[in-house]
Amino acid sequence: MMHTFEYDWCIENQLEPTLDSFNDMWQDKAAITAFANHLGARTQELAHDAVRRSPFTVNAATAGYTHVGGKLDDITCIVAAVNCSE
Amino acid sequence: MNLARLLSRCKPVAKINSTSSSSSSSIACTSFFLPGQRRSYTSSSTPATTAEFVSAVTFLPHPDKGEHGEDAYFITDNNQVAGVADGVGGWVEMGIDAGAFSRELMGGAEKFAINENSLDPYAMLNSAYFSTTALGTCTACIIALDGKELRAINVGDSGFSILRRQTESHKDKNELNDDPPHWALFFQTTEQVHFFNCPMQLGTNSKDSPSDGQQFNLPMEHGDIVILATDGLIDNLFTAELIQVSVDVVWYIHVDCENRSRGARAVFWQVLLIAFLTVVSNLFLLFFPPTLVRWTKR
Repeated sequence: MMHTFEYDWCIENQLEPTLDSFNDMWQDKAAITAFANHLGARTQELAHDAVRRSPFTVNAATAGYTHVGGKLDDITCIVAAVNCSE
Repeated sequence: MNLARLLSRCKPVAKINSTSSSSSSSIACTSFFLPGQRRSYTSSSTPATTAEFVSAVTFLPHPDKGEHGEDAYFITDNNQVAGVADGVGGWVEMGIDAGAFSRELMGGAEKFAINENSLDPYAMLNSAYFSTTALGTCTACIIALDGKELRAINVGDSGFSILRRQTESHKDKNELNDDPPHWALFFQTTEQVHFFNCPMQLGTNSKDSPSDGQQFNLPMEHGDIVILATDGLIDNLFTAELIQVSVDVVWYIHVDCENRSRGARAVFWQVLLIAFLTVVSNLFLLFFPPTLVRWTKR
C-alpha cells in the first residue's frame, strides 16, 4: 500500500528545496509537487481497487444503481498552497 | 539533534534583526549554520500583502481514453488563477473527441485571464464559453486568488476542497515548532448533477450556462491548501481519505527532512572525527617516530 515518496526525486531532478521547518513547508515547490504526485498515485491506486466501497459506489446506490469498486477515469488534481507574503 | 533544535528556535531573533537591517540579514542568518539545517530564502522585506499559489499538478489520463485524456487544466504564470475541466465521455460514441472541448475552454479561460489581467472566474468562464467552437460538453471549475480572497466558480461535478491548518490555542502561531500540523476541512464544493452520472455541463446542446454555476468568495489564510480536482479524484476519495493523504504527506516530508538533516549531521561529525584522529596520529608519529626493528632472528 505504501508508495515511493518522490520528495527526494523532486529535489534531485528539478526543484530546489527551501524548507527550513514546517512553517515554511507550503512555500516549497518541491513539497507541493510531492503532495500532488502522492495524491494522484493514491487516487489511481484506489480507482483500480475492484472491491472497494468508493464515493461513486455510494452515489450509485443513492440513485438506485449498483457499482462496486473505484471509478476508472482521468485524474487531474491541482494542489495549490496559499502563500501570503507581507 | 538538540543543538539543531535550539538553533532553529533561535531563528526568530535573527528574523527580527533582519527587518531592521536588511543588508546584513543574510549574514546574520547564515553565521549560525550547521550542516543539515537549511537556510530559508523567504524574504520578509516586501511590505505589501500579496497572495499567490504555490501549485503543482498531477494529470493521469485513463489509458483507454487516448494520450491526452478528456481532462484539461491550466495554471497562469502569475500563480493566481487555476482551473480544471472534465470532458463528458458520452461524445466518444458519436465519434467526437471529448477532450477537445475541455481543452479549448480552458485555453480560452487562461487567455482571458492573462489578456484582461482578470481575477473574476465567472468572466473567464463566460468569455471562454462563448468563444469556444469545438463540439462537446464539459464540466469546469476555476479558482482565482484575489488578495486574500478566493473567488471560484464551479459547474458540474468537478470541485475543490480547502484544507486549513489547525493551531492549538495554547501554542503561539508564529512559533517555529517541528510538530506536524493538524488539518481540517475548511470548505468543500458539492457536485451539481441533473441525475446520477450526468453532471451539469457546458457546451453543445446543453441548457446549462456559466451563470448556472455556483460562485464562491472565501477568505483565505496563509498556508491553506486548495485541492482542485476533477471527478476522477472526487469519485474515488472520500473527504476523510483526502485529509488522511495530506496528513501522510506531511509526515513523509517530516521524516525526509529529519533523515536528511540527521544524515548531514552524521557526516559532519564523522569528518570531524577522522580529521581529529589524523592530526593526533601524525603528531604522535612526529614525536615518537617508529624505529626499525628487525623481528626475525639474525
